[in-house]
Amino acid sequence: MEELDPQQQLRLAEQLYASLQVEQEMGPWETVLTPEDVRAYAAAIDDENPWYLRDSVQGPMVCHPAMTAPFGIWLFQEWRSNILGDPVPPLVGVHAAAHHHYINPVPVGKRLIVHGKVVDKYIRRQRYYVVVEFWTVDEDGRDIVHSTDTFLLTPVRIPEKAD
Amino acid sequence: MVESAREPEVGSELNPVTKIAKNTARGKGIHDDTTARTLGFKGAPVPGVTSLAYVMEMLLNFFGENWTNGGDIDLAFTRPLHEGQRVTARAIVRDKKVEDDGLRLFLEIWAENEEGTKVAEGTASGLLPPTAAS
Repeated sequence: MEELDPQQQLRLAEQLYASLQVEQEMGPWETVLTPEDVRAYAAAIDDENPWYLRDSVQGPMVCHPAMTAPFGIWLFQEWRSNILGDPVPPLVGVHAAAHHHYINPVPVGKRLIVHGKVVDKYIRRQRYYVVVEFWTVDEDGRDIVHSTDTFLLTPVRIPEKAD
Repeated sequence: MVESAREPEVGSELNPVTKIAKNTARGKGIHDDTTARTLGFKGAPVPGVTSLAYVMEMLLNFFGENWTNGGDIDLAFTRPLHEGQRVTARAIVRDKKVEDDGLRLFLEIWAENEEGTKVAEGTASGLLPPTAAS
């Protein structure tokens, strides 16, 4: 594996930041959450609520709503790779903040379609940030969740300019 | 499962949820220990979405299935959380508002490590289940 070079990371982040345009759209990106995915996720986060394990007399098995939280990250990473051309090693970013507004239960076994749009980009504390809105609908066109994620493009700081 | 047997008072705390943090994306990007150290971290941080899942479990315990009908969470990942650390999700009721679909509670939320340092903080709101709001 190629050694990670912080200066190279910063150059990639600069390139991506310069390419980003507010209002730029990304996606669609699609996925299906299977019963196996739901059970594996519940095990990974140590949530033993029976809702996520099987159908019950209370109703059918449901997805943990937080399963949709990485959707924006995955779509953003795919879109980022298209811009940067899959550099090796890849640009390593950090998820800085997340906002999710749930509208309907996350269905098991249905196609989920995610669209995104850049809504802001800024430099704060010598670091590059981008803010992206995402919205997820199911295959029937039902709104599931609206999200806004803030990404730090790299934790490497931009050097201060000498006076 | 749902703890909200009655309407909580402003200033009251929801039942916290405590977990031993897991790095659910171990080896990927910043969640790889060597990569994280090269970029200035003390070690691989647990994904923010995992901290969010711990906080959301607390909210789901309270709001039940109502959470997916207008539940709203806004969380900033303010400090790294590392695998094996004990993390507790907490919430305090800050306000209430009657809406067409029921009573909405506004919460201050956070996740703290075993030293009491906040690793994620923000706000959430959700509609009370009808039995609790009545």
